[in-house]
Amino acid sequence: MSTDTRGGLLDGVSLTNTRLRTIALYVGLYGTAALFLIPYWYMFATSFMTRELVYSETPYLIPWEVTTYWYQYLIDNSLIGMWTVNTLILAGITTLFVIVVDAMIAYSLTRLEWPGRRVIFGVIVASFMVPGIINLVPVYIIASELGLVNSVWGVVLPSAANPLGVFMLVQFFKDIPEELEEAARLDGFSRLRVFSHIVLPLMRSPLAALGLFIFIWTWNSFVWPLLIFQRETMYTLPIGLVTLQDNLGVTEPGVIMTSAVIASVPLLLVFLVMQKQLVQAVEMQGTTK
Amino acid sequence: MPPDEIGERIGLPPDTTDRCRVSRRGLLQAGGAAGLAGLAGCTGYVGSAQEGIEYWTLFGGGDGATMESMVDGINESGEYDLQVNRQRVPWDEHYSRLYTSMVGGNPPDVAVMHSRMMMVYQDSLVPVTDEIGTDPYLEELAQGGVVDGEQLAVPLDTHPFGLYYNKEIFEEVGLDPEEPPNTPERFAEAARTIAENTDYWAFDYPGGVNGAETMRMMVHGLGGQLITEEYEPAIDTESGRAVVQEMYDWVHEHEWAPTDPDTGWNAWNRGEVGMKIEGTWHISVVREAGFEFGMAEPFVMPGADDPVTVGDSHMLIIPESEERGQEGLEDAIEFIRLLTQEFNARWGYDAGHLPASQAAIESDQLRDSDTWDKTLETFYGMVDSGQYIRPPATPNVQEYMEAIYQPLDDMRTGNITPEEAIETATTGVRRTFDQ
Repeated sequence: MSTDTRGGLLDGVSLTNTRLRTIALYVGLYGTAALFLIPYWYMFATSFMTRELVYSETPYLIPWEVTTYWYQYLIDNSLIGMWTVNTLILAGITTLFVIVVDAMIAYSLTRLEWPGRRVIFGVIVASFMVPGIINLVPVYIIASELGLVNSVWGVVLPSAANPLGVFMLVQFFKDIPEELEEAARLDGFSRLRVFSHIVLPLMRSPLAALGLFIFIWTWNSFVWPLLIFQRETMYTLPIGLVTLQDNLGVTEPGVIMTSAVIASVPLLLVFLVMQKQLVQAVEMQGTTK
Repeated sequence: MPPDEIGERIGLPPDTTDRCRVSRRGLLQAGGAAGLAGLAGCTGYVGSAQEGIEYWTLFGGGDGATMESMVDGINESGEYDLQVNRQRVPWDEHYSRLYTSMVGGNPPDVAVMHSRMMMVYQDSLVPVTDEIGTDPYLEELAQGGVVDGEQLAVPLDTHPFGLYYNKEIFEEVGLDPEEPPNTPERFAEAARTIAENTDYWAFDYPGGVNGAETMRMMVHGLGGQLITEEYEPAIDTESGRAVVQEMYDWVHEHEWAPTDPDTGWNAWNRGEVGMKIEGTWHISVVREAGFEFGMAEPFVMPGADDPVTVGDSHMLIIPESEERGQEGLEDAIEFIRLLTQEFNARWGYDAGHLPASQAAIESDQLRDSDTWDKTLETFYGMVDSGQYIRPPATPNVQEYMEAIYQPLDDMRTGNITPEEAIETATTGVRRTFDQ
């Protein structure tokens, strides 16, 4: 079926069934994507609204009266710059540490022969089943005994043997052909050199994907850093911003939305930068066997 | 550089390209080092351990700013030889963190605690009976920190409920804005007048835990209570049923208040609600909202012969710690004394809470302030005349309050009837204390 087109602009354009279906598909997909974006846009728009617009009976999606009052409020009433730097440092160190430690654990579990490795792997996987909140007090007491309260390592070390990271990397390491390692060993590579010069470069995408997960997870983590960091100057963004929001149940929507923007924009940027690696990791897992 | 190469270079023009060449790796290293140095200057992770008193508060917003200025005043005056490291803890996590830190042996030197939480923490607090005592404070508030004759906590304030009202709306509908709606009859008349003559909500009251406290306040006015001294629910009683029915009627019978507290909150901020039950802290909100307001006693329950307001107290405590020496303990006690006495008036006129110190209450600084005229005089009147109660200190405070406010909130939204709300709350409270 074709549809007659009238008027200069549409001359020569014919709408076949396939084309109509394609247009409908795109409209549907982009429409759905736009629906998901609306809450984020509302958050962003509200952060620039005046108090009158924020409390208006009619919700506005576009701030026709723009103000930077809420941003100024956060800058003037908080250590937001320091909290951002703290979060970056903490998330960066944790990510690097987890990647190195988890990669070594996963390599050891898949490539080295030692008694009890299956049991250890079982324990690591089983630890998925234990809700983190149960460990809170015992781990805090251990951290306290080790003098790790008010130390970055108090947050980094408990994350080191991350079961998700180990489990994920074990699956990827199993896919690496053993012949590659054998060839390297024939060339005189030590076990450590095989790991650092052969295995890790091959695992760049999965490691990047894991790094992204860990970075986001650390960035957003709240309860544990709150317990360990007992100084306001050591707070991370999620903790610091919450201290500004609640006051005996009195909460300013403008402050909440602006806090949310500040806390989420850096993560969005990191995700955009790492997106390619993430997709590659998924492809790799999907195509190798 | 080998000597023979040096010999060859003598007499040649200097090779500037060689001297100035910076390898990419060197540039990256230098950049990285500079970046790290820059980050180090902007983070709280670098630096030596802090000396002084560790003080944990849960005050944010305007309260947080006032507390900051009070602590800064102590640190910077040079008069007291104290260094206080104040930190704000997120409201919802304050008690979890305090509890965990006490279990882990890393408690703060001084912390804020509500008086109703006393039973949870009383076994791990340092008594200050001889060092501070209860005499400098309003008697009713000071008793909130006393257990078996020992003073375990020192009151900073009380923050009871009042009935805030929008004077502009009162004027608009022909009510006298200078005649506060401080009796059930005046309240009902004002609500009816606003509802009949405007599109505004006549009234709003808080949800959540403050909704349950509102119920406690009204039940006490009728001579009842929420729970008995044996922690038995006392909700399914004549007074309990009357109050729950009244709260239901506000929303569903008279349609004075919206079903959703958020709707009420937003409308109040727009200046479109006539009256609202809120605590002392609310003064900063109404000042920000910008309309003319007044505040009256929250005596809204019809038939209440003995109307009261209810208000918890922020107390200051010293958790036990093996790490803290005698000097640290003395500093902590002195700091508490300063906050609750010398600097206490500021907590009233800046943050809006009723100061606990008798001297602060009588000080010119407080009495001459706008806050005193607007709200504190009325709050003090209620406390002084015995029209005031403190929520009791019990175990499982947060749990039993949740068991009450959840069905109340459900009833407000219209999901359950008053009878169902009473039954659910009674069962929930009983289960909480049976566990």
